[in-house]
Amino acid sequence: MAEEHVFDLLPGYALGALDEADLLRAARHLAACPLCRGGLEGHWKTVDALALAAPLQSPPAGLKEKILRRVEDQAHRARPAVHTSLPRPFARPRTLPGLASAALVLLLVLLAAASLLLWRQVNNLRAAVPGGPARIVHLTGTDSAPQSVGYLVIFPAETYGALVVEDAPPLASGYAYQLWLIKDGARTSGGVFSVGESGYGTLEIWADLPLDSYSSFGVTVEPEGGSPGPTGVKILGGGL
Amino acid sequence: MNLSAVDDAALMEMIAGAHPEAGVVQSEALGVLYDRYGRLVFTVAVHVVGDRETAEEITQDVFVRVWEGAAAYRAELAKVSTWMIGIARHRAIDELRRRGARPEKLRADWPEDLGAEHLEGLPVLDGPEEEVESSLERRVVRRAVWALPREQRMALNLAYFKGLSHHQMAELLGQPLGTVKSRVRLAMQKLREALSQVGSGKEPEK
Repeated sequence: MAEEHVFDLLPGYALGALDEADLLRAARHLAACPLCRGGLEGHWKTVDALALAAPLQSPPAGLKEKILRRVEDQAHRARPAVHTSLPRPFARPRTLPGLASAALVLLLVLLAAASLLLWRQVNNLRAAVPGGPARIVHLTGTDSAPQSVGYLVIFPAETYGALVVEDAPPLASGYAYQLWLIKDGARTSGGVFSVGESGYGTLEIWADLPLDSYSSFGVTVEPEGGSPGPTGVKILGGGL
Repeated sequence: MNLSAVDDAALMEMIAGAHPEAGVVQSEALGVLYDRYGRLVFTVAVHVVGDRETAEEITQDVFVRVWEGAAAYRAELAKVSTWMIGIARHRAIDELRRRGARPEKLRADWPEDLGAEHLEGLPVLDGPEEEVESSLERRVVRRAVWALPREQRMALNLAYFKGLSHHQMAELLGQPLGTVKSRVRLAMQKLREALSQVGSGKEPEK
């Protein structure tokens, strides 16, 4: 690898403490360097453990009962509806992103800006070197979101990729976008992501199979946290 | 069914309604997770936002999110506890930023504690299967944090509990950016080394 490794940046990266220039450098390098990604793994574990070093605080009495009442009320009211219908998913966003896991939250926040950069770089590379290694899959907006566009960056035989979405409708609280990887009619989740008020969002993809083994891709609106299979409005689609 | 001996991942399946065990009440499974991690989630929230009332709201939100997102949980990506603590930390830092908390108003010191010399007899928070491991890990992490030079400990606190970047820390502390970066890097490296000894089943040398 021609680019210098970023080992010194990894602790700050895992903590979410890097400033923009360092963040872009680290994210760009990590996207292409398994060695540094491996090094990052240990720093994630260290960050995860930091919570244990804080002096313990006892939650107020009755908090557990409050939580259980809240989810049981919610289960009676909203939970069945969430999986069967998605009323009015498009709305102004809340301040919090809806993501599947904390690990993905941190990863997405840190890599968001870099993904676009990566895409642009790959596009530039393709322009300069016809037949270069990366492929861009264009995703086009459906009738539900005709203004939306998406760009999926994939590499031959690689399970890693990146998705950049522009002009997607911001979602109401409790909803998120989910990428679907489609092969032989079967749909596998490629990850859950949110978009900002401008409709811009990114997703780092780590699939089980090489991304170029899938025939097509789609993005749907799903309950926050994602669904086992697509249930909501499709806003983007495209194929290899 | 006695859920206290059920591991976290199986509890998540129960909450998602996907566990084969019939008759399990999903909220009971969530209650067991609360018994195991509620205090830790609340602790993280308190140390980020600085007040118990907001921390209580955040703790509620975390468990509601666990409830709503249980079906999407993937054990291969993170332990349940890691996932929950991550949600709590980000939700709390988001709240801090929403309030427009100015960095110079933030407390730089690591949260007040009795220090490394008083770490024996810590309460057990987890299920019996993880009791020994987690207690050991907690002791190791706390000792390692308190063994750091104060400046490094402060940098960790500002990054982890207050969500500050290197640049913001440098401004707050009145230190060169490179100095702050070095403190963060050295602190994380030392902690990582200390934690690596947990996996070996022995406590690090004091």
